[in-house]
Amino acid sequence: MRTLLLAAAAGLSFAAVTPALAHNHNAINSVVRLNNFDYGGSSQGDRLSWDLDALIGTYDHRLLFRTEGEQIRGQTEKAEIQLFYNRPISEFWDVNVGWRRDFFRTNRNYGAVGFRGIAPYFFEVEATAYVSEEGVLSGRLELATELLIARSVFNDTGPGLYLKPAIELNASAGNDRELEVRRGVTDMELSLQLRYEFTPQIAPYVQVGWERQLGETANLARANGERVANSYAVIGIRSLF
Amino acid sequence: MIKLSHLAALTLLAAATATPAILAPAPALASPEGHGNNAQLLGQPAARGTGRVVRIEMTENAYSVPRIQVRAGETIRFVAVNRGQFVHEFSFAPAAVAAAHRPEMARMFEHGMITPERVVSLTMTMPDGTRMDLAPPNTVLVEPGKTGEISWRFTRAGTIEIACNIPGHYESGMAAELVVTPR
Amino acid sequence: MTSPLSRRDSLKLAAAAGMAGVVTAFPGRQSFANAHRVQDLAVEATRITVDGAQTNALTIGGTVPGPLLHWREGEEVVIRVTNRLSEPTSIHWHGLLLAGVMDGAPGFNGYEAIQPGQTYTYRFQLRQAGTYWYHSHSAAQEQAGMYGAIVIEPARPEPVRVTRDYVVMLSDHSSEAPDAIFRNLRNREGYYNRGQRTLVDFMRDVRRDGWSATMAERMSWGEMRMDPTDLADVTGYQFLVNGRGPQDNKTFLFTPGERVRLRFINGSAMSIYDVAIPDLRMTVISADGLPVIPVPVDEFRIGVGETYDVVVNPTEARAFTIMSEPLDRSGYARATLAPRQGMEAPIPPRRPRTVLTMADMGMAHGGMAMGSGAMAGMDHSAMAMGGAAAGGSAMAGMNHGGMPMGGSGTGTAAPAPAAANPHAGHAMPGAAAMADPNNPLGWEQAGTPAGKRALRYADLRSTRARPNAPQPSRDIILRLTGQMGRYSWSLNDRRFGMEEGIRVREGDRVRIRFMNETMMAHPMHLHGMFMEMENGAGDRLPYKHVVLVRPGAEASVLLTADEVGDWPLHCHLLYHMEAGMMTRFIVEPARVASAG
Repeated sequence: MRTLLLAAAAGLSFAAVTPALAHNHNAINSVVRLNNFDYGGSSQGDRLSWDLDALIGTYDHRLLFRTEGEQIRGQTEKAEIQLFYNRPISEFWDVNVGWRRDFFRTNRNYGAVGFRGIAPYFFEVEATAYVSEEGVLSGRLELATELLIARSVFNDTGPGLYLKPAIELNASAGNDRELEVRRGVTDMELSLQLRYEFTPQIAPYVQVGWERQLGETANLARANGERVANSYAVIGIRSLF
Repeated sequence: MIKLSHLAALTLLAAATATPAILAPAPALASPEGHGNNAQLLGQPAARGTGRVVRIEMTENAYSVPRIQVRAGETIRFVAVNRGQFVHEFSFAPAAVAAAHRPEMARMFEHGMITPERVVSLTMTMPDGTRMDLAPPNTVLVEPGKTGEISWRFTRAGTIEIACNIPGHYESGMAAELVVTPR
Repeated sequence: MTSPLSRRDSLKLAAAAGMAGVVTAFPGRQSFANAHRVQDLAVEATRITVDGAQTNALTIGGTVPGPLLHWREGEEVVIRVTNRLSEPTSIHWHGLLLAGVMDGAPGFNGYEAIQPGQTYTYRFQLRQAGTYWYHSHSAAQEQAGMYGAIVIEPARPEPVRVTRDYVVMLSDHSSEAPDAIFRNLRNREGYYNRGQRTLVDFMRDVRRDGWSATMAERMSWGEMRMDPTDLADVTGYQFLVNGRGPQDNKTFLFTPGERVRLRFINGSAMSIYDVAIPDLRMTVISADGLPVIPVPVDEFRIGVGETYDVVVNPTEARAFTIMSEPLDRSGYARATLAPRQGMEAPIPPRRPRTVLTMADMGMAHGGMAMGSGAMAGMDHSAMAMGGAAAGGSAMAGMNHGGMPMGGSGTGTAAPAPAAANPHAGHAMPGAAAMADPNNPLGWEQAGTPAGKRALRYADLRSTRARPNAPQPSRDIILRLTGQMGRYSWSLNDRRFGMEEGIRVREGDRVRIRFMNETMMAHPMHLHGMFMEMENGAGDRLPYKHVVLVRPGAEASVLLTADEVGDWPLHCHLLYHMEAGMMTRFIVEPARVASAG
């Protein structure tokens, strides 16, 4: 893992020494994106969730930090951070190589490799394979797209109303007792977000979603007396800095 | 297809060109010696090569004199020398008539009948086979280095405009005044 | 040495540029030996007021635009530029022929940026006449207000005699800092694109074109992951004329019957405009500073960095609106021509934004059949019949003289590869069926009103004929490339700093073929030399320092490399250049080359 990070850092510093000349074509750029930050009710109780990422780097070499999590009734249901070295491999696709750490149920480290980008018809795709320190292989697929429904009636360049359906699927190639994960498709989430974007910095939304554990993982949860499905309705804000 | 639309356009062009408002003494278009409304032009064509010589030089984009004055009753032989590198026109007409003529001139230019340096053709064959002359007698187009002439007998006093109606030339200032004083 | 201009002329021009600082612009004394003009210019940060609102600006000489520099051909000028910013700066003399080190592009030709507190002395002889401009060539300072006009009077008499002579400098001004704009562009695709089609638009199109046609059209854009409404990268601009907003309404005076010369300069960072003066015909007399055979038009499209001089002859005692609408129609720049201050003419109806077509995506390269749209081959049919109904294809077969009949000349040809049609005549009117001014389709479509005539590149013919110009010895291919999603712009897929540059030998005659593989138009600018744009004008190819290359199309230029140096060749859209759409055009001295 350390090796990977070192490699990423080396990539960055290499990029930074390219002569900048009069223009900052290779200047380091950074952005923090709050993709989701919302609160509301769910069938299991009040729910808080977040998804934030930060990118820093040049056109060719970037570091990507991402954190995601969810609390239900004040109890953490999911919390993770990921740190990737990110590099474009084609016009629409990047590769991510790096590390993930979970803070839920147990602290677990993973090595990660994946890609993300825009598929034809504007589907945002992110697919990542993980190997945990326990040697268990798992994968995650996220798909989303966005429809612009309308612009402000007063001004066709004004705020936009967007509808964003998304799906996330997780699967595991093995069992992880501590994480209460069993081999197979482990869980999924479907969501639909309606967002009113005043500016990219200020974009409040309402979102409904349905999360469910699946397969053997769900069976295990049931056996433990846990509920395997949760539907929610939340309000939140998207932003970028 | 191409031929047909080509002809159609020519017909349109010819029709437009022949519209009385467009080329000053309009009837003169069909018959240069005709008895058209030459009152606007303060006189009528005279025999070629006759009259008192008034010389005017043309360059980009100006005439050598801002004003020419003649007397009613005089026959003037205008000798227009093109010292520029592009075709220029020496023509006289009331300003409004010349203004109406300019879009047609622009079309002839765009159609390649006149190029920047050359007068290719001022006649056009009509669909019925007759030929049509687009050079009225109060106008002469002069290629670079050449000289054009108009002899004109002035019969009425008045002030009209000398103009080069090649696209952009009048607009750039290629105009002068023609004053005919009473006899 | 007496001033070639009367003081009155100078003041008139100065007033035309709408700036203070007239005194610095026209020093009455010459303290430098041999120098006919000495100019001191300070670069500083200040605040300016546009339409009543204050914003931050970087200025040259204290104003936006900077002082009008009014010079005379043949003079040697000395300009001392002092940097009062806290960052390096530079001034580039856009379109001027001069020694490389005086060109003012840091990192090229041995010129280095002017450091804070330092003064750099530019000194060069004016080898040309016409309308040019100057601007910062450092970071994105130009966007913040660092630009101004240059007018060079010819040594010989002008081929045009006018009583009024005004500079009309268009620019786009943002209340956001240029660095923030660039950051936003890099961080979020379509950050400023507020024109994307909505579900509502989709329903409208379904009603109009049917379900399957609309779906098919949406799907093909989707398949390419492209957005047909992406006409401009940045919005939120105020559009200025000589630093004045639409409400300020910069007014140029005339007396009816006078001939007025308007020197249009597009000093914008990112905006391409369609310019018209309703009810007043313009005669284009020069392009990029150098004279062209006059072309009467009703409107023209002006790319970033381009200049057009036009003459107008207003005969009525009324006001006329000079209307400049950017391609994305997100606003307009407005000024007024009037017999008196305070007069106004109506603002013409705002034109609709065009929607790009597959042709704009360069599908013509692949020789695929086009259903509709402004395909390259259509240029041929865009004969200037002033939009008159039957005009369309009337010209075929006639002797067109200098008409731009590049290929077959029929205008109906199956999509010629763009290569066969370098004459990218732009803003063509009257292309029959698809020229619906209310529903424009394709980048070319300016929404030109019926019966009006827009300037096309093919109309431009130099007043200087070169019948014996040698053939180019080689073609240099420059693909205009980019990745919109990352806001990465490049040439031949290489961003500046990662590329090798183009090498030619002094005296070489070459053709540069700009092949636009993107869906945006790129105004390609070469420093140090004029390019002869291959627009079908035979031996009268117009000289250009900027060539606007349409989306998905090819444009080519000829060039005799007679200026030794290491010249920037770049897209003049500021943030495209920032992102890397630049290379070096290196002209090696003939001696060294033969010795080596």
